[in-house]
Amino acid sequence: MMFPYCRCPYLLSTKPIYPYFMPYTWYFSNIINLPVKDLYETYTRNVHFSPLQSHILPEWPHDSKDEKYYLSLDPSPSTKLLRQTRSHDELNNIETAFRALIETDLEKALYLINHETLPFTSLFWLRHDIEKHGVFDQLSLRNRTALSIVNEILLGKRDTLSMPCSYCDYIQTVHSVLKWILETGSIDDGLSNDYDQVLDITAVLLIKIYRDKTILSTISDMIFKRYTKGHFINDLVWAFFQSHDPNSLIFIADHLKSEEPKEIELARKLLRFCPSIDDHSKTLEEYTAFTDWLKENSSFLSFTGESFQQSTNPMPYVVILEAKYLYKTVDLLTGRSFEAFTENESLLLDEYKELDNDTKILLANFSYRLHQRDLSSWKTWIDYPIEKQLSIAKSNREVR
Amino acid sequence: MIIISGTIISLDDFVNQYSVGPMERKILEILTASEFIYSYRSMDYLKFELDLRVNIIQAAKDLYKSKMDFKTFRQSICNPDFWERSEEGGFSVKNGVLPSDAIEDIFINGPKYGTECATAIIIVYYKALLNILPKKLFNELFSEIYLMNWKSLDTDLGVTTYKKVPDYLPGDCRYIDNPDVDPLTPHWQGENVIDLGNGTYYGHGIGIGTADKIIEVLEKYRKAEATQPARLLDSVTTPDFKYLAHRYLSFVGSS
Repeated sequence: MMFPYCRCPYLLSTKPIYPYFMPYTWYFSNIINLPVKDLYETYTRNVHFSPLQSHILPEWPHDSKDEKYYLSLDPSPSTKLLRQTRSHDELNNIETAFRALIETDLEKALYLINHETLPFTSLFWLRHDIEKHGVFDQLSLRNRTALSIVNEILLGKRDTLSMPCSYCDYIQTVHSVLKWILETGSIDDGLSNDYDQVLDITAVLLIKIYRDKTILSTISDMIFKRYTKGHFINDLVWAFFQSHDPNSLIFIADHLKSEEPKEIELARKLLRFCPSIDDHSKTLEEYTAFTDWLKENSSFLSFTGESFQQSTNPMPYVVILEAKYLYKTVDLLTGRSFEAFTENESLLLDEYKELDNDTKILLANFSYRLHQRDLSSWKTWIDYPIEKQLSIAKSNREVR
Repeated sequence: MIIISGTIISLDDFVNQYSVGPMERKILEILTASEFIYSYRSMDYLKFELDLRVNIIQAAKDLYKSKMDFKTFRQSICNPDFWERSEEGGFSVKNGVLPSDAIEDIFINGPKYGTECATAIIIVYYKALLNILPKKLFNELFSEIYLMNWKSLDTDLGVTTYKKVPDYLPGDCRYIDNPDVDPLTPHWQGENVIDLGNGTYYGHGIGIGTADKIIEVLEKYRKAEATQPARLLDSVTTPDFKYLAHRYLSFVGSS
């Protein structure tokens, strides 16, 4: 279901905006030259409006005369700065500004903190001040939900729900907020141990509970950036594979083409369960071999759940050779065929299971390739007794 | 059955040459009664595996007694006199410290350490090897120990996971999977345990108990309304007994 997104009024505005609280302003310099459609999509992918928004946004606040609150729409050095991960110093400046504002102009402070373009990082950094000044109840639903999630993750505080919404709305709100945390927060990954832990658990919740695969690319980027810095990746890697989506492996395989040796090292480590990853080939050849392998086997893969907590070389996916041999798509989670077997197929399978592994692989690969190349010939071949199938497969090993 | 140089070896053949304790005898009984062929280059290789398995069990019990804490990698702790904690939460031996001393310290100053279950198994392996290898060989073989689950292992340990094995032996590392783990506690997604050979297992952070008891504890960390139970998997993880025996026997043979 699509959530009712709304376009940000600033996109059409030339009004100055508040850099510290709204670092999403760096988007403007990116999207200002995009066609309207692209501009809309770019925006809606990243900033949303909760369907349960209980707080009506206040009117545009009185313009401050303090220059530090302003940012031009023109791409300037200051906007470039905001594209980068912010340092602790910059965040401390935000904190100082927020503290001053909350004591002098609470309404404005709340307007800024509740604004839809606020990135999660700012809310996270200001959470102690929010608590200290007792303004939690005046936060937007998004912010209250996000801070409650943060408290549950970091402090184990499981708040009883006191949200003015239905269960169905609640489910959707939490999903939206988790996505907001990860999408706007990932840019500042590495900010602190607690911050990274919140992002990790957010990713796990989005994947394990909401089955949200749209954030896999973001998670993949975080994994590789962390690895090059020597930071903790286990939970993110686990979350990534828990998506049960073999096609997402392309996000990892892409890093085989990287010029950064650490990225190649990790991509190889994560894809080692695939026979085409051998550490000896050139990485571009490995990438091609991997994509070929994935294309050939994706319909016959079964998810095992293995992770680095369990094994030195986890094999999260395995090829179900019986399925490949009979060209039957399998259920990724059970490894069982979606289709029932005919009597002849059952007999063939009984014989196939008795073969040694090398012969099984030979027959399965031959069957797949013949099926792809010539369906009519495949139908003839699969009806032969298994000895004759094997004889044909052996004399046609080169079939591709 | 056990075969050495083409000859089937009985329990008595072995007992006539070496003194064996009850746990070694138990392992030998499983090996000799199996339909699977366990092949060794010599009795000494078999003896080494038995010794190492018994020491793995002892090291697991000792680690439990050491009171090493359970901590996630994000919150892992180590004694800074011997170890350096990495950004990702692993431990590497500090410059100027002997790996043997660093491993020993974990068992002496257990409360100064805290990590997850997979790392605990690696610590158990190192301690078991430290118990039976000459210190010089231990420090040569494992000069750059890095403790961080299964991800970054010393190749000389030769740790391998087997999907299915013909027999389960005391000293095996098994895995109890918890597929419906609460997303807020991903570190309880499963528990690596050492088979103590008496129907109980050691799992760091849970303790010593039967598989059912460990499963019961793990299932406390499932998500609300979980449907999938935790279960002991068929897989087995072990160090490379034969390679380590070869290194040991070569070392003692040449010294």
